[in-house]
Amino acid sequence: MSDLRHRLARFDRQLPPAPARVRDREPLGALLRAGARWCGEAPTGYLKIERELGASPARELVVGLDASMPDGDLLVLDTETTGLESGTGTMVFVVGLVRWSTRGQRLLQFFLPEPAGEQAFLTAVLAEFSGAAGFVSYNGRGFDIPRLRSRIRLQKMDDQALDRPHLDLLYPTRRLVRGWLPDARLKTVEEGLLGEFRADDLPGEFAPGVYRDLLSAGCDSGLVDVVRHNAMDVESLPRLVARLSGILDGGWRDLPRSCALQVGRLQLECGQHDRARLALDVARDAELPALRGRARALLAAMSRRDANYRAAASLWEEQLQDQPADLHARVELAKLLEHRLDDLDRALLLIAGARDLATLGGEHGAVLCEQLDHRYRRLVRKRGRKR
Amino acid sequence: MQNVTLWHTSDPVAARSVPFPESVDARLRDALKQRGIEQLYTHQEQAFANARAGHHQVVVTPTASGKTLCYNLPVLARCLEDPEARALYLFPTKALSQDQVNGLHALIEVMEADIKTFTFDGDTPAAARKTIRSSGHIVVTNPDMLHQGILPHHTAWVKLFENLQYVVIDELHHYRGVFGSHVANVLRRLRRICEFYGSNPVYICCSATIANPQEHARRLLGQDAVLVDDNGAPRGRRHLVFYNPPVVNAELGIRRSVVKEAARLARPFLETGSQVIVFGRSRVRVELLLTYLKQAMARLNRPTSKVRGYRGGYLPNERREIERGLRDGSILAVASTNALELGIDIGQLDACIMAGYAGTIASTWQQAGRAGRRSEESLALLIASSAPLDQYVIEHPEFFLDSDPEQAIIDPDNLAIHLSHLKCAAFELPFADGDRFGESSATGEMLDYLVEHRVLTRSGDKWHWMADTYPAEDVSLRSAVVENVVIIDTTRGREVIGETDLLSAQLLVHDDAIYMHQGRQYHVDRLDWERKEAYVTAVRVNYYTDAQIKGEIHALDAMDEEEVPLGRRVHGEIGLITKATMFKKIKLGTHENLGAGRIHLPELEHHTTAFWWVLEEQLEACLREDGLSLGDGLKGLAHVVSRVAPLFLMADPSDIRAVPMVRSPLTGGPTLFIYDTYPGGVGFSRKLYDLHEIILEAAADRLGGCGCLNGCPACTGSTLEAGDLARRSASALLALALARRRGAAAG
Repeated sequence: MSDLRHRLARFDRQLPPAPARVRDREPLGALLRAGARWCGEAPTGYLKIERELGASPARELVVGLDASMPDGDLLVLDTETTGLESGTGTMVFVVGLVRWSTRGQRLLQFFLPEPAGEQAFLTAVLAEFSGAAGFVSYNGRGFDIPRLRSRIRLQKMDDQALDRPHLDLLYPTRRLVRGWLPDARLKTVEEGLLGEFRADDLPGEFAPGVYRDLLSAGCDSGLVDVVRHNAMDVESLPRLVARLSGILDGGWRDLPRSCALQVGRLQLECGQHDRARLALDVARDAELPALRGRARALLAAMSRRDANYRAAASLWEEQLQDQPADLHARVELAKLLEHRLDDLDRALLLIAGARDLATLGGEHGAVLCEQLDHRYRRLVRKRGRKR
Repeated sequence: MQNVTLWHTSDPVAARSVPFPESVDARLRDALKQRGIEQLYTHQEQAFANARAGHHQVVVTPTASGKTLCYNLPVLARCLEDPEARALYLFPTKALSQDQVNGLHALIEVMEADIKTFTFDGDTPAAARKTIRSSGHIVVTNPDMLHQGILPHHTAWVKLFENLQYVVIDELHHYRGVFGSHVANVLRRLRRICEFYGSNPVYICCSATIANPQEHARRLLGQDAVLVDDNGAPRGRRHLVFYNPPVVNAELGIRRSVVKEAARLARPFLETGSQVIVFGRSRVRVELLLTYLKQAMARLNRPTSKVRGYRGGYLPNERREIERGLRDGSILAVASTNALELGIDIGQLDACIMAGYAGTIASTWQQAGRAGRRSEESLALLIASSAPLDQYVIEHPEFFLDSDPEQAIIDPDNLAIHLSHLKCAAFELPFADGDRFGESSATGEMLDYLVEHRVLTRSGDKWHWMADTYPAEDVSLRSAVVENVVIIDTTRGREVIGETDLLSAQLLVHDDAIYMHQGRQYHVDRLDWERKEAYVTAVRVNYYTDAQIKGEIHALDAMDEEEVPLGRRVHGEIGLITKATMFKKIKLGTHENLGAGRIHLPELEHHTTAFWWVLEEQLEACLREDGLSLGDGLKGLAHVVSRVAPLFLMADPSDIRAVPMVRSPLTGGPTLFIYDTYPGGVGFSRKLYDLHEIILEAAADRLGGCGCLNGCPACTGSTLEAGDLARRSASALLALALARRRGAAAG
């Protein structure tokens, strides 16, 4: 039998040949000179970087985005991984944190020099987590936390420290910038919302390759850059919190008018009803008919909840004047008239009109027609009884 | 009764039943009684006892013998006792999974028990996945999904893996050849993960009749399994009939077309409204059958929509609809490939006609089992084609009735397959020093190889994954090549009607091929090899096309080698180039040759294992003295051996291919190569090496029994292809080899 390796190479042509690389004498040298220090020793230890960042922005601003965030220190979180794939094989090798308290901000980064140190590395990370009140991240719910959980379970460690309140800024940001920024990537958002432009930043997608060079060839092709990139990410999130909360607190008036609706929705989700009403009132005059319609619907729902039925009805009336073919508006207005405002005649008229509209709606319309017929018959009965 | 070589009637068999074991929860017993199951068949009770005792097992009983209860009973009983218990069911196809879950739901509903059963496959909505992962008691899936969707994400399935008590693998015989070799490795990965979470599940496997169920289970599971094969279920009277169509051309040894005979013999069933299934060996043959059956229906003034085709390449919805139609009786006849051999629930039919030998004894019994309700009489009819294998079987009905069915052969240690799963396994869990993957003693060396290629990294005493890829994505369990060619109908717009793997694409959808789908003909206007798309338009023509593939052998490594009569036999690795070269147009009905065309496609290159027989050089002169030809003889041998050999392997004839060479540049002498068509081979060549003499005997037997003069498609191939001297020369070679062996034995 021929040499196993020879045969393997023959059957495994998908693998690229390993490039020849010069092994650095001290591959971690640059990182250590940049301030990282060893905790434990190679191969089972890890590196840690710490730096004070100053006090602003204030931690209390978080409440402006998520009133349910508990008191106490928050951890702003971002990780670097060996790939973007999900699954247990994707390793977390940098965990960047900003401990954000009422006293100020402190940057903490953990770097895993090689997999044998993973247990100590994760233990240290979890120790930080367990003292914190909650997380702030950018896509941490969908990416960083699941990757960490997978690796923690692989080490047979307890992952409960991951289950704490989490403000993921991706969701509100994505909503806010939809339609007027090209995408919601952090870099784009920093430029578009914060007006900040990064200099000397290594794009995040290069991080896995740099780490692979360290592990496979023992050479440093930019570890300091990877760690700096990670620091930039976590450091900018408190500023994003401040900006977003400023936007909700009236700052939205400086943004494109099409934002008003999304601002109103976000404010509603944060429980800021009075503010939401202001933003949605502006959205009532938006250029796109769909935006106007949704703003009125949200406002009407708020009025209804406050038992202000007349106000709700007049919002629906406004919508029908603007867009007479809006079936949903017709039905909602009819419901108010029937149950709250005692105007069966007009309710009947609205439903009859809705029925005519629905017959134009094809297959979907047929189901709708049936529901409308039902409503129509009930109204007729009710009116008969009343007379 | 002319041309009937076998009429075998098996008498009805009464049921052997036993009461439910005491340990089965009363709720479960009551639920089964409500569904008409008052007692257990003896094999079901035995399976239950094995499962309770923690023995891995393989249950081998025929179609419709109540196989599902063999695993559902112990699993449900356990789930009722312990709400934390979990089970994993594996079926080879999504369709079977869906069937199974419907059955389980019905039973669980009657019990009013909280046993959550879910299918988890490519169709499962993302929103439902989280619930299934955390709270599914019984997760029903397929090996592909286990491979790509579950194992690489095992940390999300902690609850399942920590509490996994039973793993059910139905249709075990299906996991053979390439697919089986992959699945064995997926199960190795499953075992590693179970060990990591501290569980040690009991495996309950079910299989159709094969020669080596226990050995096959052991190879697949990597663990011993006990055998349950004493069937206690009742059977109605069954007729098995072998029919050899009459010879229409004695010179060429050509018999009346099997497709036409099948359609002719199906007609009485259509007339009387009996449900019949007609199996054809190839997609093309099934489409032809469908055309003829529809014509027959039209002549009977019956709706042609009651006759349907069924094969891989049809879209899932279409298939589900056909299965339903067969169950509720709205479909009268179906023409199918072996796709319906599997345990898909289509109910039991009145008759089964096999247009050509299914290729294996095991498959033949599976297909025949589609006919036969428990109490009524049924018929299974095998019609032989002119192919050597068919002719061998039809002439030797005793061989069919008496011999063991074939062995299921897999090679989990096929290097290419093993390596790809080693990568997946390393992605899932790091390997530690001394860990072994499967039975390989070279795990460490292979892991080091992956380190050199920057896929893994070595740290401390472990190997860790470090690439930025997801290895399971690159590995398809079903085929050598991940890539498929999509078939697009451009007659009206752009509709995808099916897909096919690259090797088959060379044969089926080359430029100007006639591609058949649901009895309709499509002309292949263009095969875009770069984009892997074939554009077709519907046509009506009076011919079909038949493509030919040429192979070239260019490198080799011998692994086993031994002197045998007339030369030596070798088992080793070869490099191989395949290329579709030309196609023939063959007239429908008469099957006459209407012309030919060239195929311009790039070569496909791969490495595989082969068996080869190197003959002594002086044989050439020897044969010439007798007025024979070594060249013709080798061609004839290649034809007959490659077609008889599958009798002894549970292989499809297309799994192996034979290449004769009068002077092989590699061996320096006259050589007959037979290779595994799958890259790296999955064990067929090794088996051929071991069975060398037995296969030569069977080949000699076939040549001796053939009624033709100088060779025909049923023995050494048509004289046009193999030469006028093929049959006599091949017979002479075989006689010499077998005589020398006898001589050696006597001496």
